[in-house]
Amino acid sequence: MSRFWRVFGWPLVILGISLAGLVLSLIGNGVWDAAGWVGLFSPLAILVWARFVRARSRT
Amino acid sequence: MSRSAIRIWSGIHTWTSLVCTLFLLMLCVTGLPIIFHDEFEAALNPSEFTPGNPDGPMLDLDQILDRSLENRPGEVPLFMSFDIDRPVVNVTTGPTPDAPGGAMWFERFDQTDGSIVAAPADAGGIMDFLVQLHTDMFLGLPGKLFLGAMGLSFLLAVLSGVVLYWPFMRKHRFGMLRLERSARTRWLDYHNLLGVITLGWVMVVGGTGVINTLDDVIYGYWRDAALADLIAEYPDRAVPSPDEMASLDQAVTAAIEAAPNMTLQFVAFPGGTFSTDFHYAIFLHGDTPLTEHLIAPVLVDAVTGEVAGLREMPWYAKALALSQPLHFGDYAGLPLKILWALLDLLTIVVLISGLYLWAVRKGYLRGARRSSAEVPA
Repeated sequence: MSRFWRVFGWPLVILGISLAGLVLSLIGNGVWDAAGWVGLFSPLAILVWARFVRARSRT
Repeated sequence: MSRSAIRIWSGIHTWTSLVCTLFLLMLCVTGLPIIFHDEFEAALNPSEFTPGNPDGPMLDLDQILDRSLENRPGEVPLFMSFDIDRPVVNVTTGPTPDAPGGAMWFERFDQTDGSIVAAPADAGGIMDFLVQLHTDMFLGLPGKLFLGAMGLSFLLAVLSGVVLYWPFMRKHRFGMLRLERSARTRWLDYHNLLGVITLGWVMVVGGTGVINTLDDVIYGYWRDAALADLIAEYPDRAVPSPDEMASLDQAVTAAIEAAPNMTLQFVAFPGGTFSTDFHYAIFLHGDTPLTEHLIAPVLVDAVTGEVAGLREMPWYAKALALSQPLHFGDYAGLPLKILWALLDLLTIVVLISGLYLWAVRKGYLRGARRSSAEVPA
């Protein structure tokens, strides 16, 4: 894996999921709304992982 | 990335951030309660509206208009809008057709008996105050455009931050938080991680916020450019007075017939931002979740009552219309609003940690100074 993807891979995935969710919710209601919830939940999930799983395993 | 390139991007990041941080903090703090303004209003107004004459015939729009002008003698009508879930018609009047926002008067009328409906409680106008501070800081158009410029500076700060993320993270794995290290290192890691994971949301809300600051400019241009041919037919006539105007009720009925599959949203009277000097602009919106954000006016000659046609909004006005839900986060229920609030809080953390890191680097704060091994943020 190139260095670029190692640094920007996850950020780009989260960016993509967030943007897709924001736009998909705009298209419809019901399931479409849930797409937005998942999209914007992804950064929060990453934060919880980094703080409580990743940071803990280092020490 | 070369050492000098890093220095240049770091300079861009520092200065674009310093320019906008205080205003962005104000926007994030005032924006937080505004996200929940519907819930706030509902909690303050638990009693439900009861129509004055539920079984009688509804008053027509001309009767409501007459009631509103009796209520505000000497004023002219500016806008009329319609509540979705109750038979209430809202009329905005003002001293002149082009009256500024501050001089407008907004009143709600019960369409079953024409009585005035009490304004919803707003805890001393706190929500209005926050919205005004958030949109133009009580400075009108210059204030809006200034906040737009701050937004652009912020977007530049975000982009330069992403560029600097590369040299910072080149030798580290994603998600690094060195909690055991000094406060400066800890906050540097939080700043970088939170900044990069909130990137999508921040760019959407920031970008649409900048677009929204141009609303007066965009609608003004649309009115002048796209409706110019309608105005050309009327070489030198003044804006008709309310007495000269044709039946509004018939105009609205004709407009609804001219626009199948669309729902009535509001009426803009002649002479204001949303119409020409000579037409009722009767705005309708689509009836699917996507098109309900897109409005299009049917223009009706305000004196003869003749339909001039449906005018689709040009792309730039549609872009503005779609920018609004994407900025407000009010289009996918309460869960989206809660996520909006959490991401807003994370953005506040990024702003304050950025300010803190800058202060430490400049030696304004006692504490760990930057070691030479670390990349400037």
